[in-house]
Amino acid sequence: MADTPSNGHATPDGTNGHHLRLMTEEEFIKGETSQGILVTSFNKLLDLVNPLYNWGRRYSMWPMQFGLACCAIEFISMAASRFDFDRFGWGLTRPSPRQADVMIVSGTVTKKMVPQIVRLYNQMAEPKYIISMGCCANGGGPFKEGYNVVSGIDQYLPVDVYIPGCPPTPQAFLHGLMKLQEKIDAERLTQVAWYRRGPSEEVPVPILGPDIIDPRQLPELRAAAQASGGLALAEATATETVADEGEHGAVGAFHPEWPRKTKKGKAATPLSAAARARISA
Amino acid sequence: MSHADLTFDKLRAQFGDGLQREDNHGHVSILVPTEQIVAAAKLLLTDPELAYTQVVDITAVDWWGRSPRFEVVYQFLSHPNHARFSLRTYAQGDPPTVPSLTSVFPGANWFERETYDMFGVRFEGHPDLRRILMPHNFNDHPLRRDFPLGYEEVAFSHNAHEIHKRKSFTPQGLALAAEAKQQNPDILIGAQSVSDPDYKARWSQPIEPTGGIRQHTGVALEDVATIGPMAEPTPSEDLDDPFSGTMVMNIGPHHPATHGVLRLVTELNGERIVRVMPDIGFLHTGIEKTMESKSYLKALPCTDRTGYASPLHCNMAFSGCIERLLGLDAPPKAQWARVVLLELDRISSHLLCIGSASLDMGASSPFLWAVDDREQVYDIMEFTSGARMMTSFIRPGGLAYDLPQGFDRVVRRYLDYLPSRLDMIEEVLVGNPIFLDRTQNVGVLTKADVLPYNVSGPHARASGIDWDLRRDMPYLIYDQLKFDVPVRTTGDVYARFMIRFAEMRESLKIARQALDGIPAGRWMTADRKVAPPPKEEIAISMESLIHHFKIWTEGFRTPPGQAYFAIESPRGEMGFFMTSDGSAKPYRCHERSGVFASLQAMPLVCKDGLISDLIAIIASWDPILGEIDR
Repeated sequence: MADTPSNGHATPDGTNGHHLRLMTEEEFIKGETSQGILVTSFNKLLDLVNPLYNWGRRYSMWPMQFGLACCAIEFISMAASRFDFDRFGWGLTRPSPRQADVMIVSGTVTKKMVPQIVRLYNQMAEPKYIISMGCCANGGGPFKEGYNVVSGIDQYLPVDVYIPGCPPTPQAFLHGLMKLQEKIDAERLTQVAWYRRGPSEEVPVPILGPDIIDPRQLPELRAAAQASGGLALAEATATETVADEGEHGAVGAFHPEWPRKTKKGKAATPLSAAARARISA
Repeated sequence: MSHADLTFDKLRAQFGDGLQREDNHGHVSILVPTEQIVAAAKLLLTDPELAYTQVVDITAVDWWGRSPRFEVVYQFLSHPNHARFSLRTYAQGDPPTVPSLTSVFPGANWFERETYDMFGVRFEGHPDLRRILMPHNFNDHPLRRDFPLGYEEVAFSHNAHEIHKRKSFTPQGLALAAEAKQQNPDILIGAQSVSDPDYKARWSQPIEPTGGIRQHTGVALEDVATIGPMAEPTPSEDLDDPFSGTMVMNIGPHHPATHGVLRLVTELNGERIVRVMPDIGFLHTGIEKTMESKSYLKALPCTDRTGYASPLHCNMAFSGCIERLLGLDAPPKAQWARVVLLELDRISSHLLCIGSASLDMGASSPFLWAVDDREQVYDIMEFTSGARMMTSFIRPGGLAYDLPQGFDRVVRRYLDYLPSRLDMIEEVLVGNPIFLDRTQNVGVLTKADVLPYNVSGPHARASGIDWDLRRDMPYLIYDQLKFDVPVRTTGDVYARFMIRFAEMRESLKIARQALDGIPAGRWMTADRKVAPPPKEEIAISMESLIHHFKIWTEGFRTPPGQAYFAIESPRGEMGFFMTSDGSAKPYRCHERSGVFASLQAMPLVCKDGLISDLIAIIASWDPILGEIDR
């Protein structure tokens, strides 16, 4: 288990095995000593644990039993005996989001359904992953133009793996599954989101406005609409806001799932850089 | 004298000579004055000679720019006389209004709600006129012609940035829209690339005053009540106690037993169901509007994605409707091959229903077996068409390609293989007392409720209605085949499952006969206005090149008119209603799905049952949400 220089890891002094010839005797002894010791730092310990930890997780992912449309039928095919994703340890589909590790968004995401999907995602415990299955979930697919269709679940949720196809074959799904396993394999204990301090932030549940909107962007949208003399959006959706303005402010009371103010008095989830650029462009 | 003539004479005798008769491709329809539509429907139902027992479809056509604008179309079906008839009427006034048919045909309920939701046509006297597919706080009627298709242009790398700038929420988008509007006030027709500020403005207008429409969406507890006025607590006698009262429980849209995104708001008294209110539309993709924006051939792949458990049946209903409009018959080889494929499709759909139902009731082996048997249907489909599920293989005018070499052999092998597997699955289920307890005498749909509530297909046959479109109003070459129509009388969950087993066995019989009968010849019609010319001809014939170009760019045109074409899908009557204005795109394309119509009978069946029965009932109903929500 010794950390040999040839495995590419830097030794504590920042050198590796290729420098040995240039070392002084003292340095050489120091280097040799560090190799003989199993652990030289806490991070190194974690590096040893990472492969085991990831190996355990990637072969025991529990998907949420969750189907939206046609892709769910191919998901069933994949789950059943011929393709049998239980070979990968993924077979235990869970009806409850609380027990699930991976959510497979299998089908067309409509404006009526997206709040429920985000809610389900928020209910899942970390670690949690999303596989976007099929063209509809990836980007709207054949119904992209439809008035009731969201152009991809990634506008609202962080997707880990996209599987193209309409619908993807079970083989394609298995490929996506293995890609997610690769992704899990590359994770490090020190960087994973679920060991950070404090609870992880919820994704705000989108609300149905003129076009379905992300509440994080509401102030900007409202400003933009007003700046252009426009109509719209703001007044249309703000009718209830005025009623109980006060405790949370106009925006805070807008929606029960709205991210409450943090200690600093700012919105908990600031506008993404991309969204800001889009609005100010 | 045909039955349609008789119907026309009777209607004329009662409502005067002013009635206009239109013969639309084997489909007689009569324009009735708005105020007489209920009386006319009543006559069709009650006259013993006419006996139009079901109104199978109600939808509207938006003649934008004309007055009156909305034409409401009713399709009637007479079971005793094996005849169809259509009434049309114009919705008058503002908002456009027609009298409701629910007093005559209770099964008109959801169709009228859908028409209201999609077109804003009011049905006067409707008991519960609320939105059915769109969210409750939606404030427009999306299938109107002046409603944009949607915002989402297809973005490519070269224009993605531009499209993003034009989004409704950017200042540029609003300015662009205003500018475009100034140049051309009609910009909205098909101009989904430009966001229209008026469209936004409509959101801020007061919501239409039909009481039921609410500001909120979502499944918060307080919203459950907005689904509809809840019934007074009506505990049964044996459950009467001082603590009686009802509670509301929400099932779905995410629930393992709802087979998709069906939401059921249930009102419970203890374990007993007082009331079930289905809430649908979570998979409403606006596919009818999408299809209306595409040429006929390009709209075809959309149909696969509606009834995704039986995609070929959707292809068939759609293609059949276009063939009606064109006055075209597919060549014999295509017709026989279609029957083989449709019956395989039916088997695959029924296997899915039975497999997932058994899983819902705790039996996982039949599920695995059934899905394994479906895989082999998929193998045949992949072998035939290249795709497992969404084959789009049945096309207007015939088939997409010729059948592959060896088709006969692989299908025959499957037909030989399946019967023993069906016996095995059936034995495991029927021999299991738990399965019997959960299904027998549970969820009984009485024979009297079947026709009024618009139930068709296996659900109707399980309740004793001896009706199968394949036998009684044959299409394709079903009249040349010998098969039985299994009928059961109990109408419970058990009967609905057993009917499906029996139907699969009949399907095997049909498929075998059709396979024996496939003649040699063309697989696609020779009409060059509809079918693309063969590739080798394009190189040598100028005319072929022109036809090829026209078909793959503009598409083929259909003569103006209306047509309704229905087939027996695994979930009842599936029909397409199409209105053509002579262009290459359908002016109005409506899908009539069997399970959408029959789902409105499910609350009747659930009443006074146990909450655990509900799972079995949903499973036996086989709801495919793509087909329900479209």
